[in-house]
Amino acid sequence: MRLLNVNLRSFLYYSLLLVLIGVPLFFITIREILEQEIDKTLHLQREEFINHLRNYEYLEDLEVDLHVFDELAYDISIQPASSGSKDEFYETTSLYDSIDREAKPYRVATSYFIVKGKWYKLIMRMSLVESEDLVLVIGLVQTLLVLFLLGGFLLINRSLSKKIWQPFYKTLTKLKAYELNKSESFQYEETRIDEFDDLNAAIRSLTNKNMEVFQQQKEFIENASHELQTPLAILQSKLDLLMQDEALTEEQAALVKDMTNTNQRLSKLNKSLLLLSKIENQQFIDKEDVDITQILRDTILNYQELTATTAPNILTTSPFILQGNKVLLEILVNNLVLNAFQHTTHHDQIKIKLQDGILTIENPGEPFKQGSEKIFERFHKESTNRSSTGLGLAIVKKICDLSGYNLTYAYQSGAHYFRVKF
Amino acid sequence: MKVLIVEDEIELAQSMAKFLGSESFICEQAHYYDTALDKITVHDYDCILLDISLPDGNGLLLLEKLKALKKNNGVIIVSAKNSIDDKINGLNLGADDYLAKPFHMAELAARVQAVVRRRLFNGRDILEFNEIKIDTAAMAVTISEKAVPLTRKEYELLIFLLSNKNKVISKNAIAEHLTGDIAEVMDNFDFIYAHIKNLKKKLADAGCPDYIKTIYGLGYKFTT
Repeated sequence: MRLLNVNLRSFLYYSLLLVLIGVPLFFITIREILEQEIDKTLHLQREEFINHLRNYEYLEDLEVDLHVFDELAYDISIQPASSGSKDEFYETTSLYDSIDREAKPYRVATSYFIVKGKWYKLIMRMSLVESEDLVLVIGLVQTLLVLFLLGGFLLINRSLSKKIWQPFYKTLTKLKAYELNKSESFQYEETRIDEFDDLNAAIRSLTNKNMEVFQQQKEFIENASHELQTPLAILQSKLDLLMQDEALTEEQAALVKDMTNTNQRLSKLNKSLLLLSKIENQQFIDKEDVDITQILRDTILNYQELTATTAPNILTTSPFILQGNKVLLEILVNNLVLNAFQHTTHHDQIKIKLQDGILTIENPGEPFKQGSEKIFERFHKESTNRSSTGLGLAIVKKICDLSGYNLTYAYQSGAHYFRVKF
Repeated sequence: MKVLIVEDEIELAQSMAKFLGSESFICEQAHYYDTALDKITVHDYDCILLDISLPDGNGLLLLEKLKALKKNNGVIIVSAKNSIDDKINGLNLGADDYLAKPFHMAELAARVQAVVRRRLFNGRDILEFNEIKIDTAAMAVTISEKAVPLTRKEYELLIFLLSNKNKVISKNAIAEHLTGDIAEVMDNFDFIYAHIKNLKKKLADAGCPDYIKTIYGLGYKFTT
């Protein structure tokens, strides 16, 4: 999940929790406090009332006075009672208010007292409307405050975070675009934050190191192949001399022949490897106008002169000229065409088409055993022919990859289709 | 004919000298830049085989030296690098040919012969042996003064064989000579047999003795 959201999420959960627990808690607490206050007031009122009552205990008509008082007083009720206790009862009830004609909440305190030897029940009540309103307002204000706080923090956090993390995102974008084989050093700007500067510096040194290693590896194959050329040449020269010996027996001659063939394989392999590595090292970058149709014709003509075979079917439109590297294109066409020749006994069954910038070579044959994805891999061999290097198609693929040509292979209705879109 | 072999790999230089050497071909060797420089300054050669990747000096400089000395030696650049740039540079500096390692001795011999012929006849390049006469400029073959039509590959094959008289040439060498780059992709050389057979027949029909011999499974030899 996104960085900013991770930050925010935890905070939101925490805030939400706080609000969900806090606000009701606060609400209840305020209520409790208010209630306690009211109860205390009611209690004090009772005490005062009873105290004051003691002063009037000498009156004869105290009972009647109390009754009158009960009728007149609005929030106080005094009723004679059969018995009583020292206990005081407090409760919240909803009572009907005759003046406003609606039910309102009241805090009611019930207690008993004795005057002139008789028990009286004293009920004192207090309206909770105002205090309820108070609690509501307090609760509302608090909720609003919290919401504003939350909202404000969210927004500030978001915009601040975005600013702070910008260099990080810049680095991330650059990393994504970085390509190892494009040997450019990793560029970055200075930021005001140490950690990001450190990160950038570390990335740069890492990528530079990678490029060095990569370059060395690329050159290694090329250098190794070069080194192999001379010993191969020496070997060949000795074998050529050995062949001249007239005292060779038939068995010896056979051995020399085998050695020569093997050396030939080595040489071919080395040459192909060298070519592959040169192509990869971008040593064929010159471009010129190349006529693919001509290359095609020359290749086929060449092959026919050598092997005197039946001609494949060629379908081409007018000369197809392409801006590209001549050497690479010749190798590409060569390898594809000869690949088809070698795997087909009757060459007139091969169909070669060059149209609209697409070269298609079709030859009938058995499907490849190891699946079509592997045929372009290095050293993959389909034929059991020992002198096949397995690099022919790999070279074709490498050329296509580097030059931006689209190479596809398909097997349909008993025929192999190799297609190159220039 | 005098040939100078400039090659720092002594084994290779020896092999080349041995293969090319005969009564008519004298081979000298130079394994260092300085030795080579001395030799070319003092002597004249019909052909110089020049390895340009000498450890103690660039072989191409020798070419420049030769040009400066206005020597008319034929030069074949022999190189492990097979670099197109080197090829172009070399040919621009006056080299006659460029051969990449590794190569067959027979191929080397054929190239030397070609250079020598061109130098000797100043363009009018004629190859003769007994009744066989080849006009390389016209690409025409006559046997006992009668024109014999050969396909291009048969023609090239004949010249190749004549350039390596009495030498056993492997099928590989012939294949590589005839096909050039394609040899790298082709994997069986049986087609050589067909060409040899056709050539033999044409020579026989024109009245030549049986020069081309098959040597066990090794290859072929143009015997004199």
